[in-house]
Amino acid sequence: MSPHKKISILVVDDELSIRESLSGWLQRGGYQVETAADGLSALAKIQENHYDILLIDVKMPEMDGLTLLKKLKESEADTAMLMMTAHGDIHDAVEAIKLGAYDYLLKPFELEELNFTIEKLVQMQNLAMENLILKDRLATITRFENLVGQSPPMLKLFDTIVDVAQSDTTVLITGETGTGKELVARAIHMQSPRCYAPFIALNCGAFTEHLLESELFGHEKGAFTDAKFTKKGRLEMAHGGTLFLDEVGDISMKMQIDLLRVLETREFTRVGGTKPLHSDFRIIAATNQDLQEAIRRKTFRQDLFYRLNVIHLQVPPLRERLEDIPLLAQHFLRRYATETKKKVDSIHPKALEAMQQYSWPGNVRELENAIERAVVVGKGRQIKRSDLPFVAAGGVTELGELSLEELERQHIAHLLATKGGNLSNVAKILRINRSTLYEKIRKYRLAT
Amino acid sequence: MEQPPFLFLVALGPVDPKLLRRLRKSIAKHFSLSALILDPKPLPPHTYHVWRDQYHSTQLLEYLLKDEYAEPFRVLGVTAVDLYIPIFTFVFGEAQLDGRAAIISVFRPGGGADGVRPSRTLFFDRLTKLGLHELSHTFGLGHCQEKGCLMGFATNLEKLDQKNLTLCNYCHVLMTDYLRDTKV
Repeated sequence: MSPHKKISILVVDDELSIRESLSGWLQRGGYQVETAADGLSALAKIQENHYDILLIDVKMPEMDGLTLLKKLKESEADTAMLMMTAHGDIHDAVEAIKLGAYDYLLKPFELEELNFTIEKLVQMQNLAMENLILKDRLATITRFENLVGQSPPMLKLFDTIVDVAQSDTTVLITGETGTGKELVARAIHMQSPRCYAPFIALNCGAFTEHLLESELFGHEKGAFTDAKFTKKGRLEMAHGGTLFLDEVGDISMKMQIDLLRVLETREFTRVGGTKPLHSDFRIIAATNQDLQEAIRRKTFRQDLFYRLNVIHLQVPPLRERLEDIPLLAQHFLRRYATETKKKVDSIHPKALEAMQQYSWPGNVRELENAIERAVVVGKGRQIKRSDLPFVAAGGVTELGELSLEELERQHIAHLLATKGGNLSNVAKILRINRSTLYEKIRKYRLAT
Repeated sequence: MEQPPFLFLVALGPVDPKLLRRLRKSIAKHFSLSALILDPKPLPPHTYHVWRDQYHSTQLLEYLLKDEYAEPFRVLGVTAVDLYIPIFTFVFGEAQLDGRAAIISVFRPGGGADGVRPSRTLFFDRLTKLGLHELSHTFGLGHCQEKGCLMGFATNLEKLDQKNLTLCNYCHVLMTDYLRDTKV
C-alpha cells in the first residue's frame, strides 16, 4: 500500500463521467477524494475542508477554472493546483500556469502522465511538510542546547522539565526577563511526545489586543481592512504540538476571557469566521510578572491563572546561579567566535571574576550580549575584563575602592533595575520607607 | 466437500475459452479461490464509444452486475476489446474498490495496440497479473508503491511485465484479513 499519508484531492469538473472515473481511479490509488461539479461548489467545499491537491477543469459553466484558480491562489497557498483541459484550451492552460497552477494535463490523460504528475505532487507536498518539521526541529534542538547550567537550581529545573514533558499538563514558567523561559518551554516540548509536531511561540506582549486576537485565532479574508488573505492562527498552527504564550501577563482582560474559553474547549473561530475549529495543542505560558499581584490588582483573571498554573516552573535569575557563569560564557564564546570567524578561544580570569561580581539585571540574555560584543570588539585570542560592556560602563567596581555612599547608590540602582522600578518592593528589601527611598533616589539622581 | 465457487469468470464478447480455463487455474493457484466459468455474454452496444473505438469499462462493470450471483461472490469479466474510462486514453482493466465486479482486457497485453505480439507465456503472465490485480481491488486493496508488488500501478506493458505475480507482505496481510473477515 502507499506509504504516504492520506493525501486529499478535490476533483472539480462539470462532466459527471470525468468526476466519477477520476475519483474512482484516485481512490484505488489510496487517495481521499471528493468532487465538485463547478467552481462555486468547489469554493464552498474548500471553505469547509483543506485539500492537498486540486484537479480543476479549465472550462466550466458559472465559474471557470481560471477564475477559481485566481480566487484560491491567495487563500490556499499550500494547496497544489493541477489544471485539466481539452486540446482546444491550451491557451487557457498556459495562462493557468502563469497564475500559479502547478501544471496542466490534456484530456483524456495518458495513464503514465497522470500517475507521474500526481506522484510528483505528493512527493512535493511531503517534502514541504518534512522541511517545515525539520526546520522547526533544528531550531528547537539548537535552542535546547542553549539551556546551559550545572548549578543545583538548574539541575533541579532540568529534572522537572523531563518529568513535566511526559504529560500534556499546562505549565506556567515564571522568571525575570532574560532568564530563558522560552528555552525551558522548548526543552519541555523537545522532551515530550509532541516533539515531532510544531512548537509555536507567541509573544503576547508584542501585539495590540486586535493584532493578538488575529495572531492567535487567525482571520478570514476580509475580516478587517488589512485582511487580504485568509490566515491561520497560532492555535491552528500548533495542532499536535505545543503553543508557547510568552508574556501572558500582558494579555487584555477581553483576550483573557477568549483564551480561557479556548483552554476549556479547545474550540475557536477565526476572526471574521463562523466555522468552529478544533486544535490539539499543549499550552506553556510564561511571564515575568507577579500574576498573584495582578489578580489582586484585578488585571489578571483568577480562573485563567488556575488554568495556566497547573504546574509552575521558576527559572532562577543568573545572580542566583553564579557558578553557571563560566560555563555559559564559554558556551556563548564558542558560538560567537564561530559565527564571526574570529579566533577567540578563552576568557581571562579577571574577566570571569568581573562577570561573577556583576548583578546581571538582564540575566542570561545580557550575558550572551556581553560575550557577543566582547568577541566582536575585543582584540587578541582572549576576552579581557575591559572588553566587557558593563565594566566599561562602570557596572563593576572593586569593592575595596568604593565609598559607603557609592556602594549605597549602586545597590539602590541595581535593585531599581532588577525589580522593574517597583518602589514599594525596593523599599521593603532595603527596609526603609518609601519617602526615604524617594530622598535617596533624588540625592543620587537615579532613574526609576 | 468441494468449496462453493467464490469467483465467476465471464467472457464479454468472443474470448478464447482456453484462456479462461488457464486463468481460472492460475487464480486458484495464487489466491486459493475456487472459480467457476459462466457462459459468455455479448458486449452491450451502449458501452461502445465510436470516436474512441473503445468500450467503457465502468459501464461494463455495471452490466456484469445485472445478473444475480450467490453471496459472497466476485465476478471477473474478460474481454478482447480495448477499454477506456472517460479521463484516460485507455485502461488495462477496472474494478470496484471493495466491490463485486472487475474486468480486464486482453487487447493490449496481446499486442493489440502496438502490434508487438508477445510469447504465449508472457501474454498469459500479463493476463494473470491483471486479473489478480483487479480482483484484489475488490478485496479493498488500493495501489501499492512497494517495488514489484502485484498491486503496483502499471501505466504501460513494460511496467506490467516488471511486476511480480505476488503481493508484497503488507498487501498480503491486508488481503488475508479481508478474506478472513468476509469468511471466504
